[in-house]
Amino acid sequence: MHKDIVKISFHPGGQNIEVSVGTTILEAARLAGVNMAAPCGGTGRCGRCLVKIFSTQREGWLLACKTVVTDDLSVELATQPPVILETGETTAVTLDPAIQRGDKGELYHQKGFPLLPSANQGEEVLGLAIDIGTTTLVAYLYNLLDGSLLAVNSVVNGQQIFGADVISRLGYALQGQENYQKLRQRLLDSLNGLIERCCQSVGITTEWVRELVVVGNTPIMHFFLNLPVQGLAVAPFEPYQKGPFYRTAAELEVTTVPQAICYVPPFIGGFVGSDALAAALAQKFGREVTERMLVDIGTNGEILLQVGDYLLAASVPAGPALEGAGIECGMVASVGAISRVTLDYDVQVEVIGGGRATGICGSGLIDAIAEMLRLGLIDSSGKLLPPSQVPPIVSFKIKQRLKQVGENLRFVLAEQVYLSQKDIRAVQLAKAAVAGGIQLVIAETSLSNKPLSVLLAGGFGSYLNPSNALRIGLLGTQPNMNPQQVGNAAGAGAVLLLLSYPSRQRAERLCQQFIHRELAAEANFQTFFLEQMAFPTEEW
Amino acid sequence: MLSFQDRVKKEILVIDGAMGTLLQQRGLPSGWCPDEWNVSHPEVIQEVHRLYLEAGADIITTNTFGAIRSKLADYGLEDRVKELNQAAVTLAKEVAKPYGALVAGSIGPLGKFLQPLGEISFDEAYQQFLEQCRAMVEAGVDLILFETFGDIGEMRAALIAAADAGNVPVVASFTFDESGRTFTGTDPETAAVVVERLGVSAIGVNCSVGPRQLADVVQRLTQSTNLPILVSPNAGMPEMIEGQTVFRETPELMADYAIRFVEYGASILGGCCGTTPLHINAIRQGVKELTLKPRHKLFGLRVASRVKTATIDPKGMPIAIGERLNPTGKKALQAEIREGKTEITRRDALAQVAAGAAILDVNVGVGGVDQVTAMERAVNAVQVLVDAPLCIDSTDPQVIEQALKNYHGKALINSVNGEEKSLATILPLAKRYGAALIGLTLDDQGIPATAKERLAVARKLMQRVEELGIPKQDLMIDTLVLTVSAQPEGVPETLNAIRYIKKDLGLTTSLGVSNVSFGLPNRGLINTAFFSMALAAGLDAAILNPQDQRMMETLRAAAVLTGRDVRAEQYIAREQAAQGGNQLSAAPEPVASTPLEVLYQAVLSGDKDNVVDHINKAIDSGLSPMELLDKALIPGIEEVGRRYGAGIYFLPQLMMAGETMTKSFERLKPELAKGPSRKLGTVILATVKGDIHDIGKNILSVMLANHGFEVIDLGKNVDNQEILQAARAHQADIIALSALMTTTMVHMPDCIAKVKEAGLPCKVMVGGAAVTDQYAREIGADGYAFDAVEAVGLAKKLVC
Repeated sequence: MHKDIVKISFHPGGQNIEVSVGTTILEAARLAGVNMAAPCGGTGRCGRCLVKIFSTQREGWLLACKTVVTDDLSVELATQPPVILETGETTAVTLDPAIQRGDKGELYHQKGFPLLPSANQGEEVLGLAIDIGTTTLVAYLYNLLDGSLLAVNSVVNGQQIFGADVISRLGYALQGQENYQKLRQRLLDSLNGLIERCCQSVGITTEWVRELVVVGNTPIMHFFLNLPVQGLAVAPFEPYQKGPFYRTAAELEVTTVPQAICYVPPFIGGFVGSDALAAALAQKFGREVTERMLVDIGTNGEILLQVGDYLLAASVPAGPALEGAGIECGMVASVGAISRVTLDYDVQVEVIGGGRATGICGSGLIDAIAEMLRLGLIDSSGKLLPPSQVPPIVSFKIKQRLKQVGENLRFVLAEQVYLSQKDIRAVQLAKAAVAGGIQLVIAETSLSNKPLSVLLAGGFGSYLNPSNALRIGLLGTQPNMNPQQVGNAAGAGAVLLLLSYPSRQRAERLCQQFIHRELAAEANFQTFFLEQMAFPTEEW
Repeated sequence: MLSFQDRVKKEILVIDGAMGTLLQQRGLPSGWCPDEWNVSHPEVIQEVHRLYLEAGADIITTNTFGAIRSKLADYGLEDRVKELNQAAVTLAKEVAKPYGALVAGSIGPLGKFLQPLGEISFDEAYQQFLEQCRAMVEAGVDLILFETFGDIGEMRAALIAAADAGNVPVVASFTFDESGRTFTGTDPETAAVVVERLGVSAIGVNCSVGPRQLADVVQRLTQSTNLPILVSPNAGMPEMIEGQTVFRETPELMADYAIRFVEYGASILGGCCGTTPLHINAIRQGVKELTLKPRHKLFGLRVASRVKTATIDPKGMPIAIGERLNPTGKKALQAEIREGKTEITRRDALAQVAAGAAILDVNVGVGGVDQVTAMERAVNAVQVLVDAPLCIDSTDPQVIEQALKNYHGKALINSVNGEEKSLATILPLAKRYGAALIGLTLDDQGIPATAKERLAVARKLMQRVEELGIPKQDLMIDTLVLTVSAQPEGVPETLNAIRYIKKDLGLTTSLGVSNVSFGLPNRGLINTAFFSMALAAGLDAAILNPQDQRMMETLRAAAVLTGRDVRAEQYIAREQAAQGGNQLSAAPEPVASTPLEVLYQAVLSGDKDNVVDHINKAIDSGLSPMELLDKALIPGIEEVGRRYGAGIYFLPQLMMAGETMTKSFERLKPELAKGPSRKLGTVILATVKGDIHDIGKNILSVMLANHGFEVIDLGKNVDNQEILQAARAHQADIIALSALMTTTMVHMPDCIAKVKEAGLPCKVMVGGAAVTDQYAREIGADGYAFDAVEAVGLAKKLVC
């Protein structure tokens, strides 16, 4: 019997929705508010939205973005929540928040904003520093009177169902105001949920939250601030407004804390947001004079460089390969992902969650390629070698994992997980973009062979093995690089901005000092990009 | 009756051929334990032995290839090891006696691998071999033959067990594949080096391949040892015919090769799978008149990893022993050893070998750590990663023993010294596990002040080593470096001791060079100067940091100056390699001879700097520009495209080849302009409005031009209006659009619509990271290409 409206149920969450025939499963999931990974934005490229469907007429694994519903369906989601990075190196700071208690016990804002009167006696004065990432939101709840940390909480960014990377989300938002608002609403839902959970976790009422400091990349902050995003989608990728921004939480529809003032620091540029500025603040850019470079690798790679008075904020299009997208067995860093690889007489892997390996995430990819280079399974041009060309010291067990499948050679890491020649090429493209960018900006400075501390920030930077990143040349080929992992530097910076009003002024000055460049637009980027395509021939 | 030891020194011996196939012909059912027939069918076993004896074999091998506990367990016969082996030896001896022939007890591999390659521990393997060897020795076997071993680690365990089982000669026979290595990668020289010191009387090669494929292995083996050599090939390569494995080499051919092997220096000849008494008889007849070829080669001190031998020759190149796998003064490495990790260890091992270390010293001396476990972990981590042999650095005999057990090669022990306690504990370990030694010139009285006294300690060390039956060339003497700032008089004594020990004792020498500079500023400078003085005095090896470029340069230069790098060959090779810079193509291309081949190779290797020269020379030699294009350049770029498609080449190689082609076209332009137009079509190329990512488009631009298209490259961030105007103005055949971002590819359908609207006759093809085949179809494009190579093919298709 033919129907126009069909019922779709999603498991294990149990959400139900009725949609018209012809809707894709991914669209239905979005309507039902189900978190479904679609890193490529639903274009059928990444294969991450594979779901198992059951109906009276069919059963099997299909891509949610490309499958049109024709009858009542039950959909089983295979994806697991990603691993979230909460910790960031914190810096000691003198407590001097924007909101203070006056002599008579009244509250005031240093910037002069009027505050709503206290709701009740014995009010605590709380603030939240929030780092909105592309995949996750992290909130730090502080007591602003004594500077104590009360809670840290995180949540998945609900916008993910509209694409894992920002460009996909921009693409979706540009299709109409309705889409834009959907994206914005998903973000607000995640944010409000997070704030509520954060306060609940320590049994404190949300009414006491007086200030929010929110940092994030430029496009997501545009969604949050309800600003138009057209300019961010096309060259020259300019923000609609640069900031800084003070808004009431009420006008931004942060409904859980309508009484709060919300501060969003300025953007450095279209691809380098307030999160990067916060990270730079936390890592003492502009304060300590020694050379430093902060690198945050995502779909978009951000490179902050300080050499003397010169402050540069650059971005490069790394693409999603290092996040596991476009890799045949790639996946995000969630349960089942191979996150560590060592090769000795055989393959040793660590799997997130400890169970069976179902894919490989970015840190695992870097490990695997670094180890394959060490054993001579890949030559420096990136070519995967057949067993007959592998050095004799390599054990037969490793050699047996080099399998020819049709025209293509692959290296088998686990029962269901392998790396193909194509995957290695995809990683080369991504790493050449990051390393090419780094080499380009370094080449313009007087750094030459001086030691350079490289601060690896963000989720990916915190989980990768720095030695292996150096082995594959992810950070370029500059000698004397000293990589350090600094965790969620943006979150740490947001905390500084919350606890110290002078820090905000410093950050705003720092933002002015940064020269912002989108390196892909520059003529000589191609030369550096191609130069960095090969892998280093030796250990650093 | 003469013993094996006596006979093998005097005559060419013939050993028997296959046993298994002959038993099958006599009714052994498949799946039945062949070794069990020693008890149930003794008459059949003796019949086979007799056939080989009649054919002329001097040695027959017992039917015990699989009579070891773990293999018998497959048939539930694990408790009959002793019975089956002793029955086999007794049967064979009975038959052999009237012929005056010898009985070799055959022992095959366990069929499982030793740690770290497999699951069996050294001790477990040792126990199994010991049990089988003991049974045979008790039954009076004349010699033990370990045959068909593909893993040197297992062979070591077997030989150590055999030595403990009793005083019987032992032959170690390996099986090599067509690449000339054993299954776990050991080459013939390394196999010889490792087993020579484990008490073997002969070294052998058997099975796997036929005599033709073994020729090279046998030759290399004869040049790697002075021990007698056994060769028992299969009767050819195994072939599958109607589900049966057959071997097809004739007895005559086997005999011809046996004669050749004797000429190389082999002295025990026989056959393995597929050979019959006929083959053995032919070999017997072939070698009857031949005599032993004496071999008396000097080898120096040799140590080996599983796959490679390092030689320290008193007259050859001095070598560097990498010192960095030593936690002294290294906090990160200390922490790693405590935590039971090997990350730094592995990286430092690789880096040192890349920097030129021939041997790696391994030391795990961290306080409060179980060093036995730590040493085993470190040795296992390094021995599956780098091919440099290891030097086991410890004073604790237990730590050294654990390392030697687990090391699948011949290690160097660092160190023994003249103290009685050291001699009593370390020397037996070297003997038992077949290791070489570094001997320190100190004894119970401490470090002697003078060179003469150090020579005396060295002499004592040498005598004690030889008393145990270890050849003296396996002892290298460290004459000890004192700190020059504290004891300036010590330097000449150390250097003189090197001279005396080399001259009087004929031993090799080594030093831990960097001790000399302790307490002084700019230590590297002192180290380098002292090192060159020591090399001048004749130093053969130094324990140093190979990543210290000055030290390695000093080593290479001094080798030339002291005449140890003959004709400076290694020095020149290294310097030339350093000048060569980065070669993009990994595999060396075949040497080109004709001008066309040179040009073809220039395109493949992306030699844009020299291609114009090559073209000029080709034209001078009388070739026409058209010929260059059709017979060298175009086939070259097409091959590049093929290699790119196959994953062999990547973007840099593609781009280099493309630029080489561009240079070629520029050079040939005047000549080609005179001929007929070869233009395939005109392509308008652009990255769409709003998008600034143009690397892929730039590569396509070069590739299209190289394949004969006229390319109008409008650049990036190009408005559709401009694209249309260009298409009209140039009467384009194709518009090719690229977009990297999903937010900008939306300009593509608009462009297609405009082209249709304007009624332009050109085709539109699309590509770029954001674009998919499906998207191209949705927007009505005429084609989609994944990459530049695909795009060239698509463009060609669209214009014809």
